[in-house]
Amino acid sequence: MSAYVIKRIILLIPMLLGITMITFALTKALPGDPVYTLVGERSSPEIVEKVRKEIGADKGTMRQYIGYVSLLAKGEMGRSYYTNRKVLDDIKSRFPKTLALAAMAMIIAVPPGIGLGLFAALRKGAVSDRIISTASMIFISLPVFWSGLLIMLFFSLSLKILPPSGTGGLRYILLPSLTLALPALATIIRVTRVSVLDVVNMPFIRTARAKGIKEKSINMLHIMKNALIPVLTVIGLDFGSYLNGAVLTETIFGWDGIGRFTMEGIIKRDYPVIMGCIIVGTVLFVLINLLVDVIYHYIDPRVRLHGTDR
Amino acid sequence: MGLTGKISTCILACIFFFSLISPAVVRYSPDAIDLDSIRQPPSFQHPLGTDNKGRDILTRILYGGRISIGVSVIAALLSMGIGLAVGMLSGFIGGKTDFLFMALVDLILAFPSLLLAIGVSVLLPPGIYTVMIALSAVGWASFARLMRGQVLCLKESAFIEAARAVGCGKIRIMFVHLLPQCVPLALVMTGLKLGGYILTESALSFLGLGAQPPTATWGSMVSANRAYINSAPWMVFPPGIIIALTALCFNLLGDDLREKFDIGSRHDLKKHV
Amino acid sequence: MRNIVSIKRRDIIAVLCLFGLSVFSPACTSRNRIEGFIHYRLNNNPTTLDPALIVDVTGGLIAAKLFNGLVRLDEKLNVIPDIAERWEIKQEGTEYLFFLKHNVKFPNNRGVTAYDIKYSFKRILDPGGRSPNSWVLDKILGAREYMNGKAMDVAGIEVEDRYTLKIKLAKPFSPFLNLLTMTAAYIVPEEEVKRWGGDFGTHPVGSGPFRLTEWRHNNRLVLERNEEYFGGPAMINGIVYRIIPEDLTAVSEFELGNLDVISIPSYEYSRYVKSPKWGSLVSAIEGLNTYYLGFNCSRPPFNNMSLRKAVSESIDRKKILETFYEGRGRLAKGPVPDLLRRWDMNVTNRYDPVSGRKIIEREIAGKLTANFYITPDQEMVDIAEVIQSYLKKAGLDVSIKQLEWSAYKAAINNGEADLFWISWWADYPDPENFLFPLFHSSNHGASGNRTRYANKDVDRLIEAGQRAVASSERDRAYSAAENIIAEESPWVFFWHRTDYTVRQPSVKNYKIYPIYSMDKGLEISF
Repeated sequence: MSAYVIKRIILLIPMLLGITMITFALTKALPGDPVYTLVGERSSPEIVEKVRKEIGADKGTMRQYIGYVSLLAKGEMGRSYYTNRKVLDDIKSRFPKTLALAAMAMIIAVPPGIGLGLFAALRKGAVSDRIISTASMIFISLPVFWSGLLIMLFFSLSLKILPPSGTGGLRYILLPSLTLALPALATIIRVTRVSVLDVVNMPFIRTARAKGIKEKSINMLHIMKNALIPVLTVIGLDFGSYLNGAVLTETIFGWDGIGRFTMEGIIKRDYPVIMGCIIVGTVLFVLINLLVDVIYHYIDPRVRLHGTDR
Repeated sequence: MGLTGKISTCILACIFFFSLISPAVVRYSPDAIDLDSIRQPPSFQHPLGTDNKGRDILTRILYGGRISIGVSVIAALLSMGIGLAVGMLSGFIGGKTDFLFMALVDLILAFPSLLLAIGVSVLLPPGIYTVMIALSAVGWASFARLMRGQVLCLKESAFIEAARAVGCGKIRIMFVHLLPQCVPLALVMTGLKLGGYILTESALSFLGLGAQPPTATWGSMVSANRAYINSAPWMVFPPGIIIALTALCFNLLGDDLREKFDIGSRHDLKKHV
Repeated sequence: MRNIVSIKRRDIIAVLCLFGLSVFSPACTSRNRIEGFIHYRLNNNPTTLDPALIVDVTGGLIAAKLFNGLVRLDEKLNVIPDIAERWEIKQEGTEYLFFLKHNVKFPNNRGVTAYDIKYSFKRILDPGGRSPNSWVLDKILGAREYMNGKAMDVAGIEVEDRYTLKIKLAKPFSPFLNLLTMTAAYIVPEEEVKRWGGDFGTHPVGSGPFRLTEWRHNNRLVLERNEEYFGGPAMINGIVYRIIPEDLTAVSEFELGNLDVISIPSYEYSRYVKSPKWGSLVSAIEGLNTYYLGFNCSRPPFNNMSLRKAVSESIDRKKILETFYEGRGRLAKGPVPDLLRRWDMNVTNRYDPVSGRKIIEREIAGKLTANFYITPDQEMVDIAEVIQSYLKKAGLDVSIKQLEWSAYKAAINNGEADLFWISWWADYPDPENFLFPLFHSSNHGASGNRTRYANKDVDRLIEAGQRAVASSERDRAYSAAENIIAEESPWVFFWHRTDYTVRQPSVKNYKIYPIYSMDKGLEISF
């Protein structure tokens, strides 16, 4: 078990190198030049060259990459071209916001998602099942920038009960996290339903029923324990991607999280910011999925943690 | 096929049909700008009104359908093709090949997908083909993982053992025995993914990386007109509703097919919903 | 299975409670604002507030509240004293003598002296620094030598005594005082710059009417009133700038009373102007800007002047302005905004599609597709589609290339685009600002002349205007230059945009300024 976890964490290092390489190549290949955003609308060629030198963009790509990796090895991420602030500090200050949003979205999505999915599965084919399944499909089918705007206009402008943007207490986080939660809620409902249906038809549940074990304990213990694994996977994937930031949701609700930070970095070609955000995001994504794998093992010891053979 | 499946098929067929024959049924050109009739509410002349440049919204939705659906279907098939190839090879050969392929898949899955799509779309000249490539570059990984799982399951099954026992070659086993078993699952998965592709196309349009103006796509219509949601709602709601409706129908159809074929059991669903 | 139902209910109740809590919590009735502070919206986070580094409007507009320059602009665009009490111009416009006020203080209570001004100006020109704004001050005698590292000091900046400063120019430059109103010429305290080093941009300290007390990046900035301000304290306790990227969100915040003033997004314009509630609270300002369609004049097909003029004739700008643009601007006759032009234009830009089409057919005999570069900004996309449809009618196929901002800028700076849509906004209110950077042949590319227009006569006339001391002589030169430019059409001149803001009824003494850096926030009150 712990050997497996250590192996996975060690595997992170080559993966990280791969990610830095891909990201670096990608940012370098992008058309556009960070210098032009830095110098404004009116600047002589000498100024352009001076600034290019200042940010180190005049060196060869390979040297820049090696420079970056050695910086990374020291645990640093450099400074933003534009704000001259440390990228790591900026990520640290934004990360709690992103974490709060992701966590709140999960609180809204997970309990009702599992509950409704279970309910729909046990009522398979009934009207209530159809309503839940179709409704969940609608949530998956709405583009976020569309549902986000509708949610904001409805709750803030029409009902006037929640603020449209800003950060602060619970009231500020509800709308963006609801926007983020809707597709996750729908996915969890669907996965739970399918997964429970699968388990219900498994021989051991039929056996349990035949043995006369009470419906109540069959439902709760047997079904849930066995049905939870795919649900957990989905939760892990969604949570992991939310931690990378939800650009569109953050933009609509003026939430100062990682997503907007990354997007701004991309738009302005702020290479240190792009690199920093992607590295942190990827590491988190991998770690969360590792955590999910470990949780599998505790829920169902039959799940073997050998990495490739799943 | 269940009732929902049938209804979805009907709606999708209608949308396809009208999009395809749009040049024959509409009175306007989708790009015809008419500055004398801007932002007109729905009327007899313009059943869904006009936009801020006087273009007929209904016409643009019909023409937009051809691009939006076309792009998504082609991108989904492309991802399926790549995913199928990689997944089968990976699962069948195993060992180091498998490890390398799966490391790549993990990398793609871990990389923020919108960002990867953005990366591809800015690397290539903007346009609908770039959108297709961007969508497939992101989408193939989950197909590959699903197909690999399927192959791993099948590899141990009795009929492959039997084929091996009678001396079938590896290539023959792969193409004759495994491929037919994988394609239905891949197709169902494609159905499930299509809805998502339409949405990602819209997100790319939202960021200005989709089809180039004045080409109408549903996504670009919503993102371009979203600001008029207060002052001219007819510009925003029809394309928004049609995106949601189409995505919904694709999802329902995919779901229905999955239940019919009884695939997508817990194991398959792990990483791919 | 009954128990499942109850679980589901419990879940729903839990969620409802969560919402109920937020809906009825007492915090909800209190609005999201600080009493006595005026609340504005920014659509992006200012990158830096260090005057040496600021190149964006957002940064400039906040810096104006935190810092002072030697001089500033009043509402009528005249140069008026700021830190300087008065000044004298000598030696045919090459020597400026500034007499400083004695009561200007930095927050650490140290008085601002001529040494601070010399320090701040040298900092912009510092060969080791990275200020992109050195062009603002490089007209000073010896500035170029200092920037190249050939001199240890800027010869033209002389401190006469604590409160007297002499600035010598290399040659006469008529808009020099205007340049000194810009953000880059703001005065900074040396000890604070040294203390913060690279972080001065996030911890700006100046002598202005407000002080930065909080900056939550991408969220909000809070500025508090400087009680000791030499011009008398502001009427409001402070300013809150909230960073809200999405227009619709800002409009919602405004209508809920969480913002006091917003600039009206174009698509909400008619709704606000017609609204009985807001109509009387809308303010308009005729902007010092020019919107234009630029041609690449350095290569075919648009190095051909008659083709450029034919394109210009084929677009009905008046109609576009009146319908699509809802009259939010004045038609442009040339590059210089009408508010700054003190002469008449001989050229009128007619709409004549028949003649336009004829010339286009003659000049490009055969098929031609020109590429037209824009950014994903929706207003730009809209206008590009309208232009494209006019040109199609005229027989010219144009394919729109949408690139996001960095790539777009690189493309137009490097001359990749045949056509591009862009606007130019005044840094300072002088026709020179619309002629020299945009049309002088020494400024091709990133320096401003993105059409790569080159005409020796125009170069000569602009230089003559820069040197001229008498305003009549200056106007004669500029007017001749602008008329040649309008005749040769390196741009299709569209319009000078008017901007609109709407405010809450509680806001008093609200004023709207044509240049962002003019508002010091001193008059506005509740």
